[in-house]
Amino acid sequence: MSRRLAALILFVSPAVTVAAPVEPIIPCGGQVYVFGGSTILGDGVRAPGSTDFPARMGTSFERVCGGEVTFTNSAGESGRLVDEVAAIAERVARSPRSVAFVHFPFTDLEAGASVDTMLQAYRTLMTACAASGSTCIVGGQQPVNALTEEVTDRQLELERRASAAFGSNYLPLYRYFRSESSVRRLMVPLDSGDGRYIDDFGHDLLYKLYRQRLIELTSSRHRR
Amino acid sequence: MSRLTNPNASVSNVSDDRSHAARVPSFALLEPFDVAREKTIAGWLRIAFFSSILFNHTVPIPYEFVDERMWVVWAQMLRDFGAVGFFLIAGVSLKGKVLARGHVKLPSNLLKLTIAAAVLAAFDMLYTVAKGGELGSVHRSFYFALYETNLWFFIAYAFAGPLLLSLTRRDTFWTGVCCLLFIMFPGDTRLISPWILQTISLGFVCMAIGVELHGRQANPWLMLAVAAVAFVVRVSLDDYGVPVYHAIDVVLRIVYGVACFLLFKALADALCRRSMRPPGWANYLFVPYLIQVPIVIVVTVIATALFNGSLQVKMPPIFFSFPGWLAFVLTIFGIAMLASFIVAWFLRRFEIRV
Repeated sequence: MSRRLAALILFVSPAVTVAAPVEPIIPCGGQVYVFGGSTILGDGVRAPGSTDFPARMGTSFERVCGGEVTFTNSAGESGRLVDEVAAIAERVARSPRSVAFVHFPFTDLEAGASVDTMLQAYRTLMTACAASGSTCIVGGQQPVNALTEEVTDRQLELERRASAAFGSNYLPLYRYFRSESSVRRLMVPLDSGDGRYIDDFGHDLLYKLYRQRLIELTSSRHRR
Repeated sequence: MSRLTNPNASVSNVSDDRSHAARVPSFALLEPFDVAREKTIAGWLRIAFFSSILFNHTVPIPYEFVDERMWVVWAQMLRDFGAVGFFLIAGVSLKGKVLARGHVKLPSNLLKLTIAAAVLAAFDMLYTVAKGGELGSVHRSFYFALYETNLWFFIAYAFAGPLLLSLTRRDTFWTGVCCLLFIMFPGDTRLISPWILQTISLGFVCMAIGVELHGRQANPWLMLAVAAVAFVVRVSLDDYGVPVYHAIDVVLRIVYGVACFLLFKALADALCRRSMRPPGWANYLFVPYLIQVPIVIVVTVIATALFNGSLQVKMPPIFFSFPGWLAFVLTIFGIAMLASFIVAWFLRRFEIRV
């Protein structure tokens, strides 16, 4: 009997130890921004406005923080970070201890922006975030089927260099979205059908990745 | 329940299986199987198909764990015999009933299906209110009941069954071919409800195969090889579990489902021969199957409270590691399966017939 009990304890104990959930430590009481282009507007989702990633993020903050947080989506007309970086930086700088998710996954490089230009834009954002004590997460690139090999190479280079330069404040997304069969394709389960915009599952993945990175950042600050 | 008399056309199809079996040469792909044992072994098959579909509903593919998600994709494709098996066993039982009594009962009673849809829709509305959400339109809840639960399998069964019984063997073959083409090359137009039509078509094809498999068996090693080949081909043609070539995937899925069905049939028969008969409540699993989605939702709430150690939980736990996530979803799978078996046992114990 005791041998069986010991076996049961051995069987159950690893599951219990690994199963300990992470307490969601989300900063409440401030301003939360989601900046971006068409993805922020929910392009690709089957039920617009209810399942896109900013809506999921908004619901998450609402549940955790109640009415203590102001949530704002901001999608610019051009959909390019280089056109809007000054306005975004100014807005973040004016909102102390805010949270900002910046999601421009392919439009800049598609329009011909260089990797150095993008890194400079990220640097401007990070400086504004540091000045206002805000938590900023800049999202990485996403595969688009129609992009040329040269543009894809720039996307991958940007991911490498930005990860090295900005650490946890940069969220490399490319490998999460690339196809099993081809590095340069958006994977079918996350594709809304045009090889460009992501579907409901893709928005769910974005939400989980941004949320996870936010918790990692705020948890590490909390521990310190 | 509506009572469908067996049309003459069907009667002419129903030859004596034993005499037919005697004519089948021993080297044939399918060999005769004692029809009296079909009903006995069906319980084990129902448990297998029920568990397979429950696994699909409780263990999603975690795209956020980029290095481990492939394991879950493979596991999901390995267990992907439940829907085909559900209709195969429906076809086998249909043939058994036709042979036994000359008439069959199908869940074609529109009133019962409507009541089931209303109950599922009511659950959706209550759950939305309980979690503090805004109550949407009744239409949305009915959409949930029809398309996001297992109810549509019963709707497909209710339509495909009578159609199958009304056709001759020759007509069944050609209708089956048309249905197969329809599910291989689905149109984009939203004609009434393409999902339901596709499920009815899949149901018809699989039930027609199931009718042919009644009183027959295959070499389990051969079926294991067929299932393994179909699995490997599917895995190599997909993109993280989603088919790239839909038409090929549908055919492979049916081949895989049939091979697994015949493999499980041999295993179930071997178990029964060793005096391990399936539990009687397995025949009542269709009820927890019908309410599987509500069961999973309730169990997820319970598992969330268990993992957080508190009833005051607003969100499911967030896991940074794959093992933690896996433990959580397998807990939901385990509790949901146990709860389903208890429901079936309860119905059997008190002889409640739905």
